[in-house]
Amino acid sequence: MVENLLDIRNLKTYFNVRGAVLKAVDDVSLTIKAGQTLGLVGESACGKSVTAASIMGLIPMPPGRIAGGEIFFDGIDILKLPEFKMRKIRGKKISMIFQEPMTSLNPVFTVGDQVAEVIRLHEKLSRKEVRGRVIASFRLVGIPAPESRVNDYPHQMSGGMRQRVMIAMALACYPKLMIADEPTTALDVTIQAQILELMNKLKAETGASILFITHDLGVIAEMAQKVVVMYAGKVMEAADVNDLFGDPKHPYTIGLLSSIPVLGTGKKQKRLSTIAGVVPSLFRLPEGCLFNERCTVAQADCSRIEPPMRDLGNGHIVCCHRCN
Amino acid sequence: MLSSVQLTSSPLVEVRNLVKHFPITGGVFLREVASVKAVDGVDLAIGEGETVGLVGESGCGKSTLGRLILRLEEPTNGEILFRGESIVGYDNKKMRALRKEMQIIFQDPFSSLNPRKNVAHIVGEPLYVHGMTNRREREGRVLELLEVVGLKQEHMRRYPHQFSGGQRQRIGVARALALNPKLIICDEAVSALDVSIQAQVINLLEDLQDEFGLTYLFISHALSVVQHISDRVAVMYLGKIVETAESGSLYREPLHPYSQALLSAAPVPDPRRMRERIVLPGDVPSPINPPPGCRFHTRCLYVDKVCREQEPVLREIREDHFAACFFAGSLGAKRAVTVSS
Repeated sequence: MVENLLDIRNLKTYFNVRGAVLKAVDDVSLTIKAGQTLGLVGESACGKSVTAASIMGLIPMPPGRIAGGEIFFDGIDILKLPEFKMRKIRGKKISMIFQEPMTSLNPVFTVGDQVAEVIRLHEKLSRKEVRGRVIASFRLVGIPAPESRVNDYPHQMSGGMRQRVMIAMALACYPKLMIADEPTTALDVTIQAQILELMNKLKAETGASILFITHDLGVIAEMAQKVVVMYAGKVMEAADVNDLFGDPKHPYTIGLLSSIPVLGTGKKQKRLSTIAGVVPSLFRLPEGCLFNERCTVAQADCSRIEPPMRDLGNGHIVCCHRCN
Repeated sequence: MLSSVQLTSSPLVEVRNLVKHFPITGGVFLREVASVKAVDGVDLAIGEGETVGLVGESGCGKSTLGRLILRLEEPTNGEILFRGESIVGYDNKKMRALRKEMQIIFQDPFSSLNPRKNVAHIVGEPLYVHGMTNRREREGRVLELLEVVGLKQEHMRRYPHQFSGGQRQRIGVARALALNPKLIICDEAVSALDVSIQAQVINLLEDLQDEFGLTYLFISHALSVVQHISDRVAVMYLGKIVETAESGSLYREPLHPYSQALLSAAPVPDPRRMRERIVLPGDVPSPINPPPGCRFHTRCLYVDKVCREQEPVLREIREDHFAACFFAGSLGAKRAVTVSS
């Protein structure tokens, strides 16, 4: 048993678009231990979802390509695996929960059939056994009356129930790693609370690791043990969840945390602090540090030299010239 | 500050027992077979210069309420008063004149701007419609507006696809400001934006309010944003307002069980702040057949016999703090009983 269930080293996923090379994921390294939840946060187009798709082997090629790096899953570099072997891992050992429970289920099959498909693909079981497993997984994710709900079509279910079906599908083969890409973004807060509670319960029961991708720092604080902050395709900061929220080092992380209004702090805040400017386009990335144009503490070297990854101890990694 | 506004002047906008049912038709003759009770008896007053936040989950009727106030939808029943005058019976001509005073900012900055028109046209259109037909004059005003919302002169000839989400929302704000309105309805105006950009737009809205004395109805599902921007907050559930109070009071001490659950369910970006989270069972019932009695009783932790039979009305529990629950204000005691039994 290797220490890190997932070990991504210097992953580079590039896309060729209109004659330019877009570095959607550029030199990203991260590790997830068995039974751990890693939160991957960042704003739109920072490379969170492309990282997930790279792990699953779902990057459309062309225009995309893995330009470098390794992804070790359970000690094996899955980027080097041929497709027929990857197919055995995908859905069985690594599964994925997508953002949109409305569009990621097929409307012309019953939800039971769709969960059964995953099980039939990976395991040799009789029809009856498959049905039993589907019902068991529905029960696990808290769908009431699973025996009859397996015959429902997606449109007969509410958003929260559909997301439970997606989770049941992801769990059907007892995966070691679940990748959840914005699993609660499309849901209402009270339903979100149900789903987050469910995911934590299932993680404790099955011992699976979770890669939790979201832009919502509040959700990350409640779910993750370790957090990686991405910006324009690169990792800016990675740390234990308490360190990241309690003692953020990177100016971008600090800016993000102070620009969200915090619920129930008692008195009304005067003004929100903001990060000036906008997220740079991948077509026109700045020289040096990617964040230098919006940074409040940038100095001359920031716009010339790309900062190295610095380890501040206790697994707290930061990519900034100004952090020591 | 707020109560003085209410005492000294009549509210800018007031709705009384407002109802909107959308018919569902069926059969050969398209008879009405049922109706979606989107807004079902709402009373709300917005004082001049005030920001009222309207929160609730999807399908609770908060956007419909906003659209009803602008008369983008015709109410099924009830009164809408603007400066004390009922506007429900207004014909198109009178309504058009009134629309100068009330504007809306939409949620999605990607679909609410016409991709074929440039910024000068988009922001200038309300000016043209309301009689500023001289092009030079109009573009001068557009330029002023762009400066107010933090855009530059060179942006005038550009098209929506050339802007980022935050910039597009600024264009939406400029368009809403064009006619010097009194009231702006912000329907999820910052929900589609990234956090760092969201803060910029929220600050902009607050600055504009100070500068032009605007009144906002701020509709959102993001509780923390509503808390930040609002003077007063109303919580909606299935077409009804279940609680309304001054913002600080509501967030400090929510009195309705739904507001309590909503606030406790919202994630807070602080891993060390351990809170007791109330996880509500089940889903929001369909607004086609809302439950009898209290509409929240199917998910309520404190449900009692009376809740299933009678509908609670909004009543003042604390000073300027209203809740529509039979047990509001004494839920703590009731909880102890429920837990022990």
